[in-house]
Amino acid sequence: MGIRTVIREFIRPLPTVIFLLLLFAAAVLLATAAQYESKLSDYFSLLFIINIGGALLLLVMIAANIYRLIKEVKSKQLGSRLTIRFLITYGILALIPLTIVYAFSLQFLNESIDSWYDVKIEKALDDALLVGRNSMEAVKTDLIANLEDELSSLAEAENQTELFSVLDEIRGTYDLTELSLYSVSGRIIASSNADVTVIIPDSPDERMMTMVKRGEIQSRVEPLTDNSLQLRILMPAPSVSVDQEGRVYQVLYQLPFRFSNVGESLEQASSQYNRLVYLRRPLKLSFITTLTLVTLLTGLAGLWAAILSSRKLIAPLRDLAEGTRAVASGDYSKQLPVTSTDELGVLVQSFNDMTGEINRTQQKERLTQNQLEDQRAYLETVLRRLSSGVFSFDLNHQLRTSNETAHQILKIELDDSQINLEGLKAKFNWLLPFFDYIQEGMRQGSYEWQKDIEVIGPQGRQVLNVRGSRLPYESLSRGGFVIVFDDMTNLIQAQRNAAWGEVARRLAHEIKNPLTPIQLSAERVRHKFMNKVEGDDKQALDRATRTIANQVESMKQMVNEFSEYAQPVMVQLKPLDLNQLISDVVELYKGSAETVIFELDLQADLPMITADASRLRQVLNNLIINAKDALDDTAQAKIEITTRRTSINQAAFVELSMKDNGKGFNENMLDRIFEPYVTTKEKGTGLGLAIVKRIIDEHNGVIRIENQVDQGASIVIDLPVELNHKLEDFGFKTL
Amino acid sequence: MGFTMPALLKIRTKVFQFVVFLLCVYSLSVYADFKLSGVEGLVDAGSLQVDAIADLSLSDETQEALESGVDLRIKFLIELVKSRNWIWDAPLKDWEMLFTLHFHQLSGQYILAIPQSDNIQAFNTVDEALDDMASRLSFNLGYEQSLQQQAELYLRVKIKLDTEYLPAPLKLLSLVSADWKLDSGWKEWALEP
Repeated sequence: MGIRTVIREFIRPLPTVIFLLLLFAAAVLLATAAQYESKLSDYFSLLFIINIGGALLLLVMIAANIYRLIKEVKSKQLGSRLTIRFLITYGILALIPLTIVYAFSLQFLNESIDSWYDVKIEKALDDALLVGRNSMEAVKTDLIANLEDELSSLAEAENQTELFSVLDEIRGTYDLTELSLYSVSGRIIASSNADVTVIIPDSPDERMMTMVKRGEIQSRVEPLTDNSLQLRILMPAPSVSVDQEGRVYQVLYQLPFRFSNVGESLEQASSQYNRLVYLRRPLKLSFITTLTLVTLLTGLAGLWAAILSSRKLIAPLRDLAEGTRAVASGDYSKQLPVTSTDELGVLVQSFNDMTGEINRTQQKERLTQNQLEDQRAYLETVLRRLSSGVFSFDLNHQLRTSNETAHQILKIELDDSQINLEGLKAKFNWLLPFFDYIQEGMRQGSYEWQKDIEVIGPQGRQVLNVRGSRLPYESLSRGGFVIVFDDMTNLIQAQRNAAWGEVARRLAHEIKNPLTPIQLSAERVRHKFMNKVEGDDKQALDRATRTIANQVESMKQMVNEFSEYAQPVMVQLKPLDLNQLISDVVELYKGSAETVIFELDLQADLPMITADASRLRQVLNNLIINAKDALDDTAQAKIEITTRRTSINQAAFVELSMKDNGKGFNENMLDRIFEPYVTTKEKGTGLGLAIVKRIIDEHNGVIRIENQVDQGASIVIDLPVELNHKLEDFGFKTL
Repeated sequence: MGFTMPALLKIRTKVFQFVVFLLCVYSLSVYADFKLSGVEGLVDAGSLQVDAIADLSLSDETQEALESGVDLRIKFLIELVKSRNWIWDAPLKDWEMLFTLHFHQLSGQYILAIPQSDNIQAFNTVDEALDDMASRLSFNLGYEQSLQQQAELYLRVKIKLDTEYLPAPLKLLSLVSADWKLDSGWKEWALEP
């Protein structure tokens, strides 16, 4: 964690701390201002409003935070539930002691304030006040009694001067402050004041004057500005005459110093105590309100601090949870902010180290994967370009790789789904020999194995050259087998054609060429010496030259047939009705004087095939001739020819079957019956069946020969309905 | 979750009604005891004499406080105000008279301290004291250059209990209790030629 992070982490909570400190200061000032006689009492209202505002602000912020928390919980945001749990815990831990302290403080406050007031003191003060009032009442009563006597003489005063003189004398006698005579209308008649500077006497109160008019004496004690007490008495004056307006005496008497002093002291004590008694309820209310407000502020501040602390505490955990989720979803580049140096900070740093390491490893792995992909793409490109089919199997015989050429050679389609060898065998059963050989090779575990396998598929017979190799492996989970195979059908046929062509060329060159001179020489010898010899010599010469000529002719025929067999054929593929061809050929043989019976069983809806009609005609001729030769000594000779639609390995074929009731083939020669010069007949070149076999091969057909159980031979030919092979590949020419 | 427009209008109407109700209650409580029924101005020797006609009485709570030894200070305020169109009016100058009421426990008299003098007056009843105070709501503003006739100037006066003068425990009560809201409100008086 860098110095900037430390400074930032230090500065971030500063506004909050300052705000809380200000609130705390306002609460302390409010508590001080709430005291009865505090210098801050003038600011009580302002401080109270500030505290209320602060509490409301805190309340709003807390409510906003709680609302936000609830929203986070509803949206299942990470860490929100934990924050609420922390908040509740913190809140309970903070609020319970606060509530207890608050409750005790309330009780203590009530009891303390109540203890300030004592009934005895209150009673004493009331009694003292009563005594003071009674004392003043006594003074007033005495004074009124004395003045009534004295003032009665005033009625006898004859003029204003005498009146003033008497007033002044009486005032002086009783130490009065002022003695005035007023008319009931309020006019000053005469006045005497102890202070000679006072010109205008103190006017009587209108209400008192009204009462005095009724004949009642009015009096009251008045406090003065110098805290002394003054007795004001209004007394009705006796009327001098009926016509004279009524008059009123006003007496102002300042109570003696001892009275005033004691009275003022008593007044202040009583006033203060009564004020205190009156203020007991507001004082309690004020203190309780202040205490409640301070407690509320403290609680709310604690709650807010708890929210902030919870968020701060939970933040790394939430970050960790989000980071873990990101890692779980495969994002290893996630790095979390490290905001502390405590255990949580160490944990976050460890998480960052872990994800960093995983990310680096993953990048390496991705790089390796890319390289592998490149390698695989390269390998697939190479495999695709190969002219050989390639399969690769793992040790569980699961097919892992196959190239396009393999599909083309085998005429199969493989989707991307996984398939093993058994599945291949079940799905493509005409390739059983192929897959069986592969399975056997893999089972034996040989490093290499190779064999030509012949299969009969939808396109007819195929010769596959299969080569298998075991891959090197370090453990059982690796390794496997690679199978490489080629379609050798075309190649073998071409090689065979080339070989026989060479043989034919040599035969023509080495054998056929000398035959003509031999024949000519033999004829010349015969012509020249036949007439010159007689008897046995002539017969011997005749026999010898004839034999030479016949053998030469025979050899020429043999060489011609062989050349015909070996030379490249010219095929002309066209849609062909096999039934019609058979009928045409058989019809030729029915017309002769032969005694062989032909029985035809030709399927009516036999599909057309693609074939060379002349070549197949040659096949039928050769087979019929062979059958007739075999039926020479047979009574009721019979040849059965049947056709029918069939299928081999789910591919459509047409089957031609020819059976006779002759002597059949020599069992020892059946294996080599299609090889040239293999025959059981005394006459013939031994090429007939070989040519038949070759023509059938040209049409990707299959021919098999077997002896029947009871009598005779059976030849079965299967020809594919659709012939897609390019016959040029066989070395043939298409017209 | 959102609010539809009719719901918002309904809420706004309810809030408006509530605010009006609060204002009514507040005004009733505020203007219950101190009333200014009129203001008279008299130009005398180039100076302006302002006389207010007031009807003053204390609430039970304040009278109890007074008789319990809590002194009450009553403010008579005069302000010369310049009216403004877009913002609140600005006071240019202000004057005030401070009356203090005190109950003398020993004599049972209500003492009214007269402003601008050292004299005090004693009364048997608080109503007498308040009546006397009302009769003294007269103030000479003297000659003011700013008092020249200007259409945007006006005077306003009011009389109120000075709650800031109360003891601290009563200040909280005066903030929340209508019994302590003794305030006449401003009485405006346009300066006319």
